[in-house]
Amino acid sequence: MKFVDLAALLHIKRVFLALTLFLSITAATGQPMAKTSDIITILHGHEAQLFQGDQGLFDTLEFTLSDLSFEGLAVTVPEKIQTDTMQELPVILVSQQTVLRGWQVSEQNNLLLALIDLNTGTVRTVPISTDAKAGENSGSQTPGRPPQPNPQAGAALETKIRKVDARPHFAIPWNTGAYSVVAFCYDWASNAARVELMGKEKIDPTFFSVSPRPMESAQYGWIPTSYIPGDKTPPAPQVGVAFHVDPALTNERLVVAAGSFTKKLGANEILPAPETLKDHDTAQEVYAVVPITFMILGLDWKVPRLREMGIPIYRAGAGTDDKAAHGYFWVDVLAQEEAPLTKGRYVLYAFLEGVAYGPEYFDIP
Amino acid sequence: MTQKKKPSSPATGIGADTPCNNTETTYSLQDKIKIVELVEVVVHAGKETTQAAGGRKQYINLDASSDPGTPHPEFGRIIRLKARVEWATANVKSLSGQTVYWYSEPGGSNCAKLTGGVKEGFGSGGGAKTSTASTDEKGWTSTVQFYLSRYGGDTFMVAATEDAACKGGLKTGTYEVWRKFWYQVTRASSHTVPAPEKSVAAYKKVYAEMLAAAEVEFAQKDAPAGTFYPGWMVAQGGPDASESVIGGHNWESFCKKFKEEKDKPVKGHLIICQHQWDPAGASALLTVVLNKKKSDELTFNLGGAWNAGIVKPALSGKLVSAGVWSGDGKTGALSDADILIEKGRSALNVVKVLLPAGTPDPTKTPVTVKLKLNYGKFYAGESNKHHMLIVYNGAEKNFNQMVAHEFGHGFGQTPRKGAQPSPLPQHPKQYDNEHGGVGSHCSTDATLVTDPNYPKKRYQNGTCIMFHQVNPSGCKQEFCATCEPYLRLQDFSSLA
Repeated sequence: MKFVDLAALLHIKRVFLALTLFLSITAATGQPMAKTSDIITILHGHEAQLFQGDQGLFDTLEFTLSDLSFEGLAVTVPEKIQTDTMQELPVILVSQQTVLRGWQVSEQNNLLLALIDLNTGTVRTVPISTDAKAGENSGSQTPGRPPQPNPQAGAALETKIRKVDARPHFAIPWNTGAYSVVAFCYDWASNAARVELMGKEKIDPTFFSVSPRPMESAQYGWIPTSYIPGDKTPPAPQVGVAFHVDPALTNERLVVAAGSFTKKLGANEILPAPETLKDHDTAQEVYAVVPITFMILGLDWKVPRLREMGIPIYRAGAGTDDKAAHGYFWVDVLAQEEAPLTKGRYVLYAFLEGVAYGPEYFDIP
Repeated sequence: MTQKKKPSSPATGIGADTPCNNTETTYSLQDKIKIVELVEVVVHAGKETTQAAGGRKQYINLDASSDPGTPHPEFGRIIRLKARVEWATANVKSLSGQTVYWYSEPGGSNCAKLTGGVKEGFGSGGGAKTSTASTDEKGWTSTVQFYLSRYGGDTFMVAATEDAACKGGLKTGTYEVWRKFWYQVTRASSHTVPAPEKSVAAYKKVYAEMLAAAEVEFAQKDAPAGTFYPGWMVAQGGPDASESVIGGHNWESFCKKFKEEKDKPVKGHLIICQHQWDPAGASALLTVVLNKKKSDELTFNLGGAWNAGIVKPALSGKLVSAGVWSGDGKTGALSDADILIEKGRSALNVVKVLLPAGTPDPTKTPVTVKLKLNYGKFYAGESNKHHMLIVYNGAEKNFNQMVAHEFGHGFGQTPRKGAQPSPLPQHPKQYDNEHGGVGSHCSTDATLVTDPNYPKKRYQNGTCIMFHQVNPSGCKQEFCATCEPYLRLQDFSSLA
C-alpha cells in the first residue's frame, strides 16, 4: 500500500484551503463546488513534480481533488518546452466522475486526447486508453459491459490523475510550434491547455482559403453551405463559437450546423486582397478566412469524424483592428464523410483557436 | 576410336555450361563406363559415411549443426551424393578421371514459379540444373551437392549417368521438401489440455510437421504467487476449483520452463493457462459514503475496461494501493484484509469493504471510504518470440486456431508487402490494424463492416487461421488457399 506524501499533502491542503475561500459550498454534499480552472490552479502548485509523473503526488492530489464537487475533465501541460532539453510533451489529465457516469461512458472506449496545431488549425485525436492486446484473438470472447452498479456504488466518485506523453501519440515534429491540448470523453470536454515548443526552426504562418465554398441558389439541392447569418443562426458570442445542429436538416447523411463566432483576427487570417464570393445569390467580399474544425463523436467512438473548414468573414462582420470580428456558418459537417451515421445520439464540437466549443447533441432517427 | 576430353575438366563441374547434351564427348566402346552405385553421403563429426539414397522427407528448415552429437542427413536443403562407376566391359585401366553427369527430376506438381535462391540446383539454391563429377581410381565420384527447392511439397529425384545427354543412369529415391518444428506444452498438472490436432493437420497441409515435445507440468504448490485462483474469482460463473492464471506478473517464471533440445532446434513453447490476466496498475480513487459496516458491492470502473477485474490476493503486490476511512472526526487506513471478494459477486469489478475495528458505527455516522485497488486485465493469449501464452478453457476450436495462429505469426504470417518470400507477389488478402486486430492478418472470406472505430471499416468473420480474431464458428482451421503458397515457401528456420 502506498502512503500519501504528508508534506505534499499539507502543501496541497494549503492551496486547497486558500482556494475554497473562493468556492461556494454545495448544499447537497457539503463539498466545495469547483470549476475546471480551480482544478488547474491546484495542479499548477506542483508543476515540476507533476510533469515528471510522480505517482505519489498523483495519489495525494487525487485525495485532495476527491473532496471537491467537481465532475469533468481537466488537462494541463507545460507552458513552454525547450525542444533541445526536453524530449516529451507531458499532458496531465484529471478525470473525476460518478461511478455511474464511468459505467455509462467507458473511459477505455471514449477517452480521447486532441492536439490542435495553433498555426494550421489542424486537429488530431488519439484514444488514450487503447488496449492493443484486447484487439487480438478476442472474437467471440470479447467481454461485454459489466452490469450497472447499484445506486450506492453508482453514486460514488472516482478520481484519476494520469500523465500522457503526447509526443509519441501524435508523432509531434519536435521543432518550433504551438499547440493546444483538449481531452474528450464523449460529451465531456476538458479545458484547452496551450504549449509552445521552443525550437530552432522558424514557422511560416499558414493562410487559409474558403472551404467549403458557398452554394449558389441553383445548386442548393440538399447540401446547404452559407456564411451569411440567417433566421436559425445564433447570435455571435462575445468570444468563441455558438452553434446548434438543425434537427430538421439532419439525417444519416447530413448534419447541418448553424453558428456564429467571434474572434480577434490573426494576421494570417486576413486576406492580402479581398476576394469576392457569391453567397445566397449576393456578392460578398471575403475579408478573412478562419479555420474551424468540427468533430462528431458517438458513444464508444475512439475515432471521431473531423471536418476542417475555412470559414469566411465577410466585410460586414470584419470589425476593426482593435475589435473582434464576427463570422457565421450554415454548413453540413458530415458532407465529406464516407460512411453515413447510424441511428443514435451524437455530439458535435467546434474547434476555434485550439478551444473546443460544445457539445451540441443531435439524434439520427 | 578417339576420346575427347576437356583439357581442364574439374573434379566437379557445375554451371550453365555443364556439358549435358554435349555431343563432342565420345568414348571408345571398350572404355565405356556404367554407373553401378549411387549413394548418399553423410558427413558427421568430420567423418564421411554413405547410405542408400532412398529418398525421404527432407526438413529443409533444420540445421544439422544444431545437434552435433547425431547425424541428421534429413536436415537442410542439401542432399550430398556420390556415384561409383565400373567399366562396361572388362578393362584393367584405372577408372580415374571418368566423367559422371548429374541431373535432377522435379516432381510434376512442383511449384513452377520459383526463381533465384529458393529454386533447386546443384551447388547452391537456384544453381545449375545439371552437374558433372570426376571419378577416382576406384570409380567413385567426388561428392555432389544438390539443393532442394524451398517450397514445401516439392519433390526431386537426382540421377547420375554416364550419358552426356543426362538421360538414364541411376536415380535416387524421391526427396520431398518438408519443414519440421516442435511444440512444448507447459501446463498446470490439474489442467487437462488436448493435443492441438487441427493445428497439426493445418501445418501438415502446408508440408510442415508439428510435433509434440515432452510436456512440462507444474503443480499448484510449486507455482509462483498469483498463479492459482478459484475459478469463480477470475471468470463469472467459474468453478470453486483453482484455475491457472498466467500473465505479466508470473509469465517469466513459466518462460523459464522451456527446455532447449538440440535435436529440436525449432521449438515453440505453448504456455497453457486457464486465464490470462495482466496486472494493470491502480484503479481510480473511489470515494464512497458507507452506512453499513460491511458494504454492499462497490463498483470500480477500472479505466472503463470491460476486460478488467479485481482479485484477492492481487496478481502482484498489495491489493489496496491506497485506502483510508474517515468519519465522526476519526480516520484510519484500509488494508487488504478489509476488502472482500465474495463468490457470486455480480461482476469481476466489484468488491465489498468490511470496515475495520475502530471505525464509527456507520449506521449512525456515515463513514467515507477512499480506496484505490490494484487490478488486472484479462486477455485471450499472446506471443513473445517462441513463447506463446495460450488460454484453454475447454473450447477446442479456439485453442486450435490460437495455437496455429501464434505459430503462424512466429513463422512470418501474414507477410506484409515486401516481406513475402521472393518471388511470390504481395499477399492479396493481407491487412493491418486499420481493419482490426494487432499485427498482420489474412482477410479471406471476411466481410468489411462499418465500425466507427475503424474509419476504413473492420473485417468480420474471416475463415483463415490467420484472421485477426478467434472465430470458432467460422474458422476452417486451416491456412486458406491464398496463404498456402506463402507458408509453403516460408523459411521455418526460427520463430521470430
